[in-house]
Parts: sequence; C-alpha cells; structure tokens
Amino acid sequence: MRILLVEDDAHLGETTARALRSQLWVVDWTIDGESVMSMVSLVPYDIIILDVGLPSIDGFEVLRCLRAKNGDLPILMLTARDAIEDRVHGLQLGADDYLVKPFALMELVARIQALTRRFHARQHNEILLGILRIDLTAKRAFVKEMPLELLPREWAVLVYILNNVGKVVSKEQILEAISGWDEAPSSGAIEVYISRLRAKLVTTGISIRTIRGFGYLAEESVDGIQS
Amino acid sequence: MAFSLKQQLLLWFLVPILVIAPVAATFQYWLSLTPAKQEIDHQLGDFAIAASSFLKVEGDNLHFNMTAETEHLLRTDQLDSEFFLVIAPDGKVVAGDPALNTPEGKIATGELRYIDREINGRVLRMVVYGVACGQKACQVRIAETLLKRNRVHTQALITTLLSILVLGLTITGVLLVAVRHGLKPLQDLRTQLADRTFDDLQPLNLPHAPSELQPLISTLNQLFKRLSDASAVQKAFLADAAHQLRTPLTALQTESELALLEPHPESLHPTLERMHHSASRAAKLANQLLMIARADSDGHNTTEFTRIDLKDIGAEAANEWSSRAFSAGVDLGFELEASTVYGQPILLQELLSNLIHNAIEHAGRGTQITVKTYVLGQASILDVEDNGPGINVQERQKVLQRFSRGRHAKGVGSGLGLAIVNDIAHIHGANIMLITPDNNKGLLVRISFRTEASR
Repeated sequence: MRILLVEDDAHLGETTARALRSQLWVVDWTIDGESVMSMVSLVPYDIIILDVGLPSIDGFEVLRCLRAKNGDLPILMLTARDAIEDRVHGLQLGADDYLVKPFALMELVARIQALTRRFHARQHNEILLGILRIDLTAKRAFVKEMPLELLPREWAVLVYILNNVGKVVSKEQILEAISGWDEAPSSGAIEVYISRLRAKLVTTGISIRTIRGFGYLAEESVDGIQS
Repeated sequence: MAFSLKQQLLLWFLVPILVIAPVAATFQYWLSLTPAKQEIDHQLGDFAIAASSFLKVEGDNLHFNMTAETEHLLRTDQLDSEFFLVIAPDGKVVAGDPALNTPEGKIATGELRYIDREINGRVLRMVVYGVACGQKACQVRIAETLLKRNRVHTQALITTLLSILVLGLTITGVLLVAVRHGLKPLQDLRTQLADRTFDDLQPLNLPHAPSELQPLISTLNQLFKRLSDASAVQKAFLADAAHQLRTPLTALQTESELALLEPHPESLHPTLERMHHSASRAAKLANQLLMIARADSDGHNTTEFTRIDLKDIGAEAANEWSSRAFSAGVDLGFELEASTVYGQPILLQELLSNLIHNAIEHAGRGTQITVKTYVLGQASILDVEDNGPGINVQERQKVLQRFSRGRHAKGVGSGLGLAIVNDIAHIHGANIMLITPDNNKGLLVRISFRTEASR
C-alpha cells in the first residue's frame, strides 16, 4: 500500500511516517500542500493523510482540488482537537474520515485500514479482512477460500458490520440496514444473528463486541505492528 | 466615616423645617387670632352703640331708660358675664355697674375705645363709646369677662399646632418616599453588581438611571471593559501557549508510542512506558487548557447554541470510547433515551468525553461504567455512573476545581477533566452533582440541563 502523508510539523510527520512504514506500507511524506497535486498525478496512491493546518495553502483547499480532479481517492483528515467544526467542514468537502490530534498510532493504522478496505470494497465489490473475503457480487463469503455458510439475514448483518469495522453500530442501525428483507426482525433477533456470526467468525480473528445498551463493535484482532 | 445618603438628605431637609416651623406657627397663630378677637370686640362695640340709643338728653338732665327685658338681653351671653355703665360728661354715673367707672380720660363723640381692665380681681375687656351729650361727650361702657376670648385663643393654638403637625408629617413622609425613590437607581446598580458572577464583565445596563448616576455607570463600564480586555488577553495567551505546546507534545506522545511498538531492549520497556504516560498526560493537558481557554471566552456567546439530543452526544461517545474502554478492561454501557438540550455540541462532546475518561481512569479495570441520557421532569439528564471506588463526600466539591485530583486518584489525569466539565456545565446553565449510586458503590456524575420549555 502506498500512502501520501501531508503534515507540516517535521517531528510529527517523521514519527507518523515511521509508524506507517513499520506496517510495511510505503509512505511519501510532504510538508507542502502545493506539491500534493503533482505527486498525486505521478503516483497511484491508495490513501492520502492530510493535515488541515498547512502553511501557504490550507488542507481544505488541497482537499477541494483533489476532489475536483481525482474522484474517489480515500482521504483521511487530521484536525486539531479544538477545531471540531473543521471536521464537519472537511467531511462536507468530501474527506472520508477525520482523526483528531493527538491520536494513538494504532488508531491511525486502524482508520487507514478501514478506509482502504471500504475503497477496495467499492472498487472491486468485495470486502477483504484478514483471511475473510466477502464477494458482494456473488453474495458469498470465504475464509481462506473455504465458503462460509450464511443465512440471508446473517449475510446482511455481516456485510453491514464489516462495512463499519472499527466503528460502533447501534442495533437500530443494523435493523434499518437489513429491514429490506421481508418483515423487520426484532432487536432480540439481532442478538441471535450476532451470536451465530461470532461462532462462524471465530477462526477469522474478527471479533464482534457487544456495547452494552447500545450495539456492536466489530474489530480485526491486531497482532501488533509487524516488524 | 461611612454615612447614609438617605440620612444626609433627611438632615438637610428636616433641620430647616424645624427652624422654620415655629416661626410659621407663630405667624399663623397671630393671623388666625387677630380677626377673631376683632370680631368679638366689634360685637362689644355694637352693644355699646345699641345701648347708647337708650340715653336721652333733656337740657342738662340725662335719662337712661332701659327696660328690664332689654337689660336682660344685654347682659345675656353664653359664656361671659356682661357689664355696662353710662357716665355723664362730668363723671357722674347715670346708670349701670359703678365698678366700671375707672378713670379713662376724655373720649370724643362717636369714638370706640377698647381697653383691658382688671376690676374687682377679674380681667375684663371693656369698650368705651363716646355719645354726644350737649357740647360734651357722655360715655357708654360695656365690659365682659374673657372666656370667649380665651376660647378663641385655645382654638387658634390648636388649629395652628394641628396644621403645623400635619404639614410636618406630610413633608417628612413625602421626603422619605422621595428619597427612597430617588435612591432606587443606586439600589438597582447595587443589585446588578451584586448579582454578577465573577467572570461576568458585560457592561452595566441601566437605561433608566438618572443622569447623575450615568458618569458612575460609564466609569464602571470602562473598568469592566478594561478588565474584560485584560482577561481576554490572558485567555488568548493561555490559548496561544497551549496551542504552541500541543504540537511538540503530540509528537512526543506519538514518538514514545512508536518506540513502545518497535522492537526495543527489555530493560528500556518500563522507562519507555513511563515516558509515554507522561507525554500522553502532557498532551492531554495542553488540549484541555486550550479547551478551557476556548470555553471561557465563548462562554457568553450563545450564538453557537443549537438544539441537540443528548442521545446523539452519547452515541458519539460510544464510538469514541468503546474500543478504548475495552482495552482498559472496563465494561462501558449505554442507556440512551432522547432528551433535547440547547447547547454547543462540541463542548457537550468534550464534557461527556471527560466524564467517561475520568470514570475509566478512576474506576479502573473490571468495573462497569454506564452512560445514561433521559428526561426527568423539567430537566434533561446526562448520567455517568461507575461502580469503582468513588470519591468521598468531603473531596467532591474540590475535584470540580482546576488542577485538583482526588487523593487516591490514579491514571494520567491532569486534574483538569472535571474542572472542564464544571466549566462547560456552567456555560450551559446546567447543574452538576456528584452522587453515590443506589447500590452504595462508585460514583454517579449527574449533569442536569434545564429543558427548553423551562428556560
């Protein structure tokens, strides 16, 4: 995976680049917003990590240019904690996600994975998560190319929560997402589907945590940074 | 020496009144008495003239023939005893009471002379009337005791005293009311100043204050402006300092985290871990300082307030904290019901974030934390409850202050978390309560917002 990191603070940029490289990702780091456009036209990046507070040309301007030119390249914005209105602005301008400084490195890694996964799903109509592969066209799931047997509603729940790995989804959201299937299931039924899915995913390293009173959080077990 | 403006004003008014009042009273007494006395004298004179018609002059002989009925009529009076005397020009008594024959000197014909005389131990008012008796003048004298006159005196005195009393009381009363009314703007000013919170530096607004007070108010407003400017400079400095600190601290935090994740000698691990903790704490502190500076300066600017559902704030927190709570070994749960408040979403997210962070740090591994939003009567409630060690009652008020940490606090808290919660609650006019939960274990932090209907 090839990442473009746009961060003007030398120290933070260097550290972040090193952390991302330790994931065996290729990272190009620039402190200059103006060079982004030329770099993007030369190199096929998988994701751009863009700091809002850049000298000379600000992150939003870069974002605008990128969206005007390169349709759907995943873009993760970095914003200061006190400038949360920036998040909204960024998302309106077409950023895919934002991360508030200071962030934990593992959080950044997880967000990048989630973003590129979603981008991949959009482009190839399949979700790849560790050894799990979900073919959205054929509506089939595979673990290490072995087919995973799923009932239609289990399939719908699985697709929904895997599209939101690393995010908390409420029961209501799941219900809404799968209610296209005959009559709407009860929230008790959701618990049943989740527990069946847990059993079926046990070998994949994907865990579905219950957030008491709220919903679920699917996470890919992180084995630490590969060295 | 401190003096009361009211007393001063009353003194300045009442002293002259006390001086003027006796003078005015005397004057009024005299004014009301004189006509009354003249009236009584006048009647006495009329009697004398009437009585003179009974005096007949025939050559050198004088006759005074008054019937008994007429004399009775003359002598009858409700109060006073009446006397009369007729004297010939040579001083001989013609008729009447000889006791009245005091030497009075000559009198012209037609003249009425009023005199006071003490006769036989009684003071009498006497009128002497000159009647033509040939070439000379006879005298008709009528006298009476002073009871009527004394009564007139008493009445005049009472009237005067009463009117002065009524006047005095009225003036004093009106004065008291006027002074109170006149001083009301001062009272209003005092109330406005007394009601201020320590951080309220808005200009005073007293549009109806009298022009005499305006210079004071405008001076006070200038003072408030200067204080407010100074405070703004200070906050800007705080925000600036925090902002400048944040970037290197964030880098330090990331660096130390990276060092922990990368292969490193076992012996360095505890050091790296401590470094990372300190860096995280410092970075968090810088962010919180910035937040406080921003919250303070935006505190009175309610333009960014919107209607928001606490449930959404709770959902946002679920997203932010679920994973971290799990890593910290804490069971973080939610019971979210719709409850609308009027506020700033960013600040409310920060508030809840701080409460959850505190609960995780304070309650520790293996505990349960529950975030609840609901409506209770007139209030929208946000509860964060944990079943950790809790905070003892004596420390509760203290932990809401800046840089105060519970004595047994653990974790990387800066001591600013609850202070920020307090500030944000204050900005939203919300109450913050630290309660021991029903099961008598842990801590329940309750933020109670007035709902829009009750605002």
